[in-house]
Amino acid sequence: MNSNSFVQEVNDGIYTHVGLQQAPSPENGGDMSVFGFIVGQNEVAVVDSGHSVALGEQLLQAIHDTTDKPINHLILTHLHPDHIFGASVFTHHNKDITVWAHANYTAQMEHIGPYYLEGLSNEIGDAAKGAQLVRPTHIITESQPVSLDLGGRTVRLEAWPTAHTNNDVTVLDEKTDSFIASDLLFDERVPILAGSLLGWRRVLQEIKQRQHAMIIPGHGNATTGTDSDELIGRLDGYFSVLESDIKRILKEGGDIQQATETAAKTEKNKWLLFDLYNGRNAINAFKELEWL
Amino acid sequence: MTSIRFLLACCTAIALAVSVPVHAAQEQSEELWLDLKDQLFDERTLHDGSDWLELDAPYRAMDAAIVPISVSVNREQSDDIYIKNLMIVIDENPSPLAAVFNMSPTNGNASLDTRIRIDRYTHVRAIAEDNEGNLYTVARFVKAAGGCSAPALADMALAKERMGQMKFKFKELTQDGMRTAQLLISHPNYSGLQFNQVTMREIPSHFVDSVEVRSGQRVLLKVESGISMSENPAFTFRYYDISGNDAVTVRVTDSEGMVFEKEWRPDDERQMSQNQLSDPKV
Repeated sequence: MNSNSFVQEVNDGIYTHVGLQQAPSPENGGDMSVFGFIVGQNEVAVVDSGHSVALGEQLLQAIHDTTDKPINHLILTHLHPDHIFGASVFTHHNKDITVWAHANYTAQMEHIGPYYLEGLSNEIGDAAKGAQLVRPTHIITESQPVSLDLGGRTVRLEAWPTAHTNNDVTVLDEKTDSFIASDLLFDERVPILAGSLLGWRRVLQEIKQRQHAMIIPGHGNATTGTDSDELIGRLDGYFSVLESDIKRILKEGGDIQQATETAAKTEKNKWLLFDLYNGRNAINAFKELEWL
Repeated sequence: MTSIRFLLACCTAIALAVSVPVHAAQEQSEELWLDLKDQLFDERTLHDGSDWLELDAPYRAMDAAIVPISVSVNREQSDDIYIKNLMIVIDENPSPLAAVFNMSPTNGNASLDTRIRIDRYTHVRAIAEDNEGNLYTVARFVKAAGGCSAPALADMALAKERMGQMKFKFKELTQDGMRTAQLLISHPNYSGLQFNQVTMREIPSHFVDSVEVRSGQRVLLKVESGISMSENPAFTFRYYDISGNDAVTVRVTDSEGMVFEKEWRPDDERQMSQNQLSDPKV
């Protein structure tokens, strides 16, 4: 039994820690994303590791408090600091752990990883101590999902075309039909667009059509049933406004500065952290759409 | 001005992406500027251009790697007296001279927009030189950091595949034949300051170093540019479109000796956008 309040059992054998709906800061130590683990009869798979070694250690403790099954798999859903910098806790805990990530992950890690590592203490202060980049041992390609048998349950790892980033991976627990979408889904707080607006909208359509029993976003709480449809709808609603605003600006001959100042401003009251991230989303969307 | 090429390509100062108080940064910037001014213009006098030269830039940039700036020349241009060169200088950047635009009376009022990288809090300056050799300047202070050394977040594979692709967007055409147009060049414009700590090497610089836009024999715009320009360089400028459908040819070269060329006509684009409009998917 789990006596650790760091995680909640959101579904049979699926445990998540839901971080704060905040930007990373020294005060919150980077505790602002969702990560967790799935317990099978034979082994445990960890899905993301939190923003820091300290968060990774708390997750490891939560697993020990829940089960004595070996932690044999770590899935890194994408290369963003709030999901990866606790990973070294698990590779040190089990030298033979398999570390799964998108086929684009390693190149992206070599390219941007050191920059994230360097900037980490600015973002989360002392909690950045000891953080390391962990290289995947196994990759997942878009055409070939991977099934992991944890004993009595199979989890399916899927690599997606460029959406939130160019290296998004999701985890589907087939036993409970729970879909760990990670940052392909954001609830309450405005999403961060670091991949492709149009790509992400296509992925949202696909996720919506699948009608999984439970979806677990990378920021916000797990949902079921019509709540899931609404969550996806809200997110796509934001992207839809962003897209049409920017297309209009482009059509009227406007430029990128106008997009950062005006695009999707009508969505402002619907989202947390809007002022912090919307302007940048507009820049990224503009860069993409001006080439259409 | 003989050292322009050198200044566009080389680091004259190694700037670290640290934040300093604005006040201190502004003072520091003024000192740097006096040095830079000597390097770029020797003893020549720079006049205050603020009566008619305008530089627009966000006071606080959302993305230091793509800072949109806009230069407006609010002065009558003629064959007798016109802006011959527009220069963009970013004091605190490792390569402060971002670009030199060669203009002519065909550019009408010589206004233009582009996107730059900013490495730390800095003054950005527009310097206009007229055909008689008079220099005028205006400056804006911009808060942004890390734009030169930030890794390109764009998909590197896509950037490579798309390198050299260009778009030419014909925009407004006024009654007197003044066309506004935007040129987009797909190019990662690697600054040489983006560091790969796995290989312990800098990603070698590879950037667009010249752009020439012509219409037949007529030169509409020439740009010499360096690593302080954003990835996928973008230029919005004006020129007289004599027939209302003048073909334009763009020739771009980069620091690796690659050459990209393409030609467009406003009518082709109208055709294309009509096709797009009739496509229900758009």
